[in-house]
Formats: sequence, C-alpha cells, structure tokens
Amino acid sequence: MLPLFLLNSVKGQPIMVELKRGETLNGTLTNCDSWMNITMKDIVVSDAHGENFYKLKSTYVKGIHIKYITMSNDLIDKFREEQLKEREYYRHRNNGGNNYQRRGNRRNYNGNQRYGGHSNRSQA
Amino acid sequence: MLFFSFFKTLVDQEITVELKNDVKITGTLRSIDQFLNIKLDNIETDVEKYPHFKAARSIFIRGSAIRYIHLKPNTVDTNLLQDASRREAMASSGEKIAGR
Amino acid sequence: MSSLKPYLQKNVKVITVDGRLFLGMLEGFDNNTNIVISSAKERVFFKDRPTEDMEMGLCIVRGNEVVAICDYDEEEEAVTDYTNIHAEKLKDTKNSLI
Repeated sequence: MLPLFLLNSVKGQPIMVELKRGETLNGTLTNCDSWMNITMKDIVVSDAHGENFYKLKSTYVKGIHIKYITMSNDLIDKFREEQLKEREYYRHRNNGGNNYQRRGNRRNYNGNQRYGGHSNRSQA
Repeated sequence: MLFFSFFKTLVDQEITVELKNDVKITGTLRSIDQFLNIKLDNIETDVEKYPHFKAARSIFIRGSAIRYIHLKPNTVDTNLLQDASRREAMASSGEKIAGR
Repeated sequence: MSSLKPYLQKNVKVITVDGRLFLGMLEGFDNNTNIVISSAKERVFFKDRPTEDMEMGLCIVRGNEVVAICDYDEEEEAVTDYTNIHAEKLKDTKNSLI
C-alpha cells in the first residue's frame, strides 16, 4: 500500500497533521497531490507546546513541512476494501481480455490445422 | 554509485553504524541500496541506554541518518577502492569535457 | 536493493528524526521511505516517570522524518514491562548548522 494512495483515499475524512516545527493541525482533508502537499478545511491549529489554539477555515500545507499525518485506524479497513474492489474490477477486466485472447488462440489453432503452421510462425 | 558498489562487496560482513543521534548499531550487513539505506541483521545496541531498540532483531536504517560506518580493516581492499575512485574521477571529468 | 518489503504486515518500531519512537504494523511504504503504520503508538520514555504509550491510529510518516525501522521479537516484547524502564530522550539527527 503506497502512503500517497492511502492519503488520496481519505479525502473528506478528519486527519491530524503534525508539522516539522511541532504545530498540529486537526481538520478535514480536502485534497492532496503526489508531493504530499495538502489542503484542509475546518482546522484547529495548536502550537508546538499545545498551549495556544486557533481556528482556520481552510489551509494549504506544503508536503515538505509535514512530519506525519494520523487518522482513525478504521480507515485502513475501508481502504483495504476499496483496494480489493478495485483489484477485483481489474481482474475481471483482465480476465475478460484473457478469455478473449484465449478464444483468439483457439481460432488460430483451428486456423493452424487448416492452413498449416501459418499462425505458428507468427506466434514464435 | 561507487560507494553503493563498495558496500555491496561488504554484504554479510559485520559492521557498526553510527547514527547522527549518536546511537551505534552493530550487525550483519544484509543489503544496501543506491541511497545507502542499510539493512542489518542480528543487531546489537546499548539497550540499557536506548530501550527503544529492545527486542529488535533486524533494522532498516535510512542513509540520510547515518553519520559513520565503522568497518573492520581486513574487510576492505583500500588499493582497489583507491583505483575505483580514480577511475570514477577520470570518468566524470571525461564526461564534463565531452559535455562541453 | 534494501527494500522494506520483508517488514510489511509486521510490527515494527520506527525511530524518527526528532528522536521519537513509534510502534505499529507496517502497511506500506514508497521510494521516499514514506511509510504507513496502523494501530500506531508513540512510546515516550522518561528519566523519572513511568513510560507512556499514546495511541495514534493510522499514521503516515513522511520519509524525511524516518531514521530507522526495526522489526522485533514479539515474545520478548510481550514479556517486557516497559513502564519502569527509564531512558533519556533520543537525540535528534538534525544538522544543527542548518
């Protein structure tokens, strides 16, 4: 599981971000990109000592300033389910493709018998 | 890339890695990559001082956190290393001239 | 290549640049050593107080912050009582000149 994949799939979920300098941002993830730059909304910011708090409506955080991002542990199950579904979808599609190809081969094979090694060569 | 190749020749040797936080970890070099990230097996550290590493068996160390790697002298062929360094220096200066 | 693959789905300890210790199951990683750990805990050692574990849930740690990742002997870990093991805070690995 790629970290950025996970981040992408928890858009709209509450997360907590700790920045390099120790500030923490509690809010909802709205968007992210492949540099881990993120946008959030409805944020409560606390300073490094956890003494001062203030609210922000929305913010953009450059990925390079992030130390770590935490979220609810349940989200991993959700993510796994989603991934499984996706994999199933692709397997289905690929299988469809394979079946098609197999059918194609069979046709070739038939062709082989008829035309004598023609498609054999093309297969090699 | 030279040191990547160099460390590849040291796989299965016992080395001591000193991190930038002063922790020293001794273990068998299991593998290395182009960032000089290192994997050690059967590691030993001062667990009394650093209980963080208690029960740890093997470790992946990010290359960027390493300060020193202590090696046993007999595991290093310094002449070969010098030669390789010269060759690499030659190659890169050649590249520079060609690039101009 | 020294990949983190053998550590996947294993409980690991992660040391970070600022000298903290995280525990959890390694769920994923990428080329920048960004990692995902589930059921993450931060373990804090003190010189004069009992050790504290803080639950953090699912955690994405940025690669830049990672110093080391180790897998550990589950049995030894289970029988170790950390509450009265004291230690100083690990030093950070930051370059003080920058």
